Amino acid sequence: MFIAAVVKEFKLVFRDMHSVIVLFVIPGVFIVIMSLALQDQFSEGKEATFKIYYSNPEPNEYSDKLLSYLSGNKYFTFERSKQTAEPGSIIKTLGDRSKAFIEIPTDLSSYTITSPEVTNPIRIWLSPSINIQSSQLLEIAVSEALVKTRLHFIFSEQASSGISIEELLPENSIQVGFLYTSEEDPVKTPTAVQQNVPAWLIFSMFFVVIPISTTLITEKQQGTLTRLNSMNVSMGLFLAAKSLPYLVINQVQLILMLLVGAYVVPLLGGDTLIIGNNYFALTLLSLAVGISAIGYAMLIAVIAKTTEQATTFGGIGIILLGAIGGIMVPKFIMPENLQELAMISPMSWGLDGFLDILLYNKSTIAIIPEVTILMTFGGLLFTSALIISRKNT
Amino acid sequence: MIEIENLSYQYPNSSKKALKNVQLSINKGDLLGLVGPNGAGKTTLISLLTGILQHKTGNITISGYSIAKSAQEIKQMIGYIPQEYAFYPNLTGYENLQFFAGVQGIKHSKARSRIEYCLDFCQLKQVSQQRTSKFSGGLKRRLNIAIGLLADPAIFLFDEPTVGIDPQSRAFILQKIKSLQSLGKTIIYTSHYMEEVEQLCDSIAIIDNGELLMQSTLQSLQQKKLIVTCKNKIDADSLMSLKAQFKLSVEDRKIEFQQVDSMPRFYQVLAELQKTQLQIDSMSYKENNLEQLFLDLTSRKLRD
Repeated sequence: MFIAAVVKEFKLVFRDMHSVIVLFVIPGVFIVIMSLALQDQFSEGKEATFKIYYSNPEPNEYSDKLLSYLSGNKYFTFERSKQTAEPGSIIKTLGDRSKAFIEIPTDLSSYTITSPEVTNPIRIWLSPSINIQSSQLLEIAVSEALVKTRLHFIFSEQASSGISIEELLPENSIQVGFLYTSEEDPVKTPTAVQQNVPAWLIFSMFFVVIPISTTLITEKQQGTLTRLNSMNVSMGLFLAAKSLPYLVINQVQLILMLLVGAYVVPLLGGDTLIIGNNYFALTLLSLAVGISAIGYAMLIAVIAKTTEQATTFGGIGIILLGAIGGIMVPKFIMPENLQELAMISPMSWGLDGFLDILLYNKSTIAIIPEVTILMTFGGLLFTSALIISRKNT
Repeated sequence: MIEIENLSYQYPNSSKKALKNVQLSINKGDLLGLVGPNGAGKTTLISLLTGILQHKTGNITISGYSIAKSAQEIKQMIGYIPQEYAFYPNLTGYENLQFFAGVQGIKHSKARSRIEYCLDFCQLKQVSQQRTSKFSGGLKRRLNIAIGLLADPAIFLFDEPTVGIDPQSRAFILQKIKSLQSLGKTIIYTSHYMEEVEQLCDSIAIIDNGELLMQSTLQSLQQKKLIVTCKNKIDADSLMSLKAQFKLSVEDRKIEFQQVDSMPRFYQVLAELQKTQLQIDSMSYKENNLEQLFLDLTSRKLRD
């Protein structure tokens, strides 16, 4: 009985083009797009270079030095505007291409240690569409250049001191390194693809709700379940047989999405996903996520009366679980109370587990809590689905 | 073969009983037509017989097994052919049969021969490799029956198997059901079409509002009746001797004699009539009409 039902389910899912697209094509495309779109947010050496316009009505030694320090910044490119620093002109200059405008005052050299009053400051005009991190970065960059400029002239005036700004702040004064790297598995930086593949993989695994609910509701509506019931077919065994193909499909999704991250994203100019070598942990975690996704799908399928209800509520449910669970917005940038709320989403546990393996190179033991919770969650939902299904039939 | 005693059923969340004290008896090899308007309780009765629904009041016994205690054994004896096309449109006819054979635990080698037999019986061999989504209504009905045949059950429950198909397919299905009976199978056949039941069944049960209104053989229902019309209003008391010998009813100037289906019987009625003082105006023969009987029993009101 079990084998016949498994074979039937495989045939049904692979003969439905919509299911194939939802389960395999869309997640792959999503991973490519998100990895390429967000690579600048994570990768070192692939900076988002914002173009910043500036006005410098009376260039002098002081403003030239300031601009030379600014031009050394790797996050921004600076271009002199021909427009005046009037608000109307600035808006016209910025258009859609630039996010900020710097107005360098004519009397930049007037500041001295003995007279530290700023009468005419450097003004930074920001476009409303700039994000808070970029605006803060720009402010820091301008402050750093201004401090260096002032120090440069202070040191120049006191030539006898023999100190230069370059000696005071050598380039290698600060070094940045990432934790959890090893020689065998040198994940040097948490790249966009390293963050995005697990997130969107988990998201796509939950989309088994669509084919599972579509087939089960059709079986209910067409009287096939009633007929099976009259044939002595155990509902528990039937639902279990229905689940197995999707657990296999989840594993195929895992392999395909990892391959997309490792081979397709780099071809399109993105970073390469480093899979590491803990395949056992990856498989175990993937099975656990699959069980929880199938449990969720079964519950939706037995509660919903129509396929429209199932795809709407199932789909919205996945988006909510994804939003809470850190799939769409990383958990680390959420407020603390939302991070605590994330614990209710199985996607959050799954993502933590995948990041433990792919980002932190942790061992299989480290993911046992996540695996246990995911399997328990899936088991509870599956049991609820079975009870409701028996009650309904 | 099938004994139903005092069977009642009420759906959860419903204030009305779907079946009320139903008594029904079906012998081995019988072909019973179960008729009734929409919502009469036919499908509920079928669902109780298949074990899909579980009754709390009354008793159903099939081949000596009580369904309350031996539902699994009874399910193995029954082939249920539902009203819906209860199979998978994205599988071929053959794949559907393979699946249903598999879930019923029919062993691989036996399954192959049963599938071949069922395809042959329902004349589906030529289309067996096509996806059933491309089947016509008639082919779908035939596949529905073929699936029910797979486990070679002793009892068949057909729930309106000819709805929405062309006359040729209907004739084919009725012929196949008749041939199942000739193989010794016991069949319960529900339908809205009285002419189908007349053509097919040996006996008929009429059900309405959850109550079994009558169960009778088709032969006794179809017996002719003699209608005698008199010139004057009839005094019922003057017919005592006739009433003692014949089944009759009197209304105004008319006497209806039931079961007058042979010439000796007819002459016997004439001889007895001559003994009375009745002035006969006319005499006519009339056959019982099943549709008329159905309407009389279930009332002519339109149903939801």
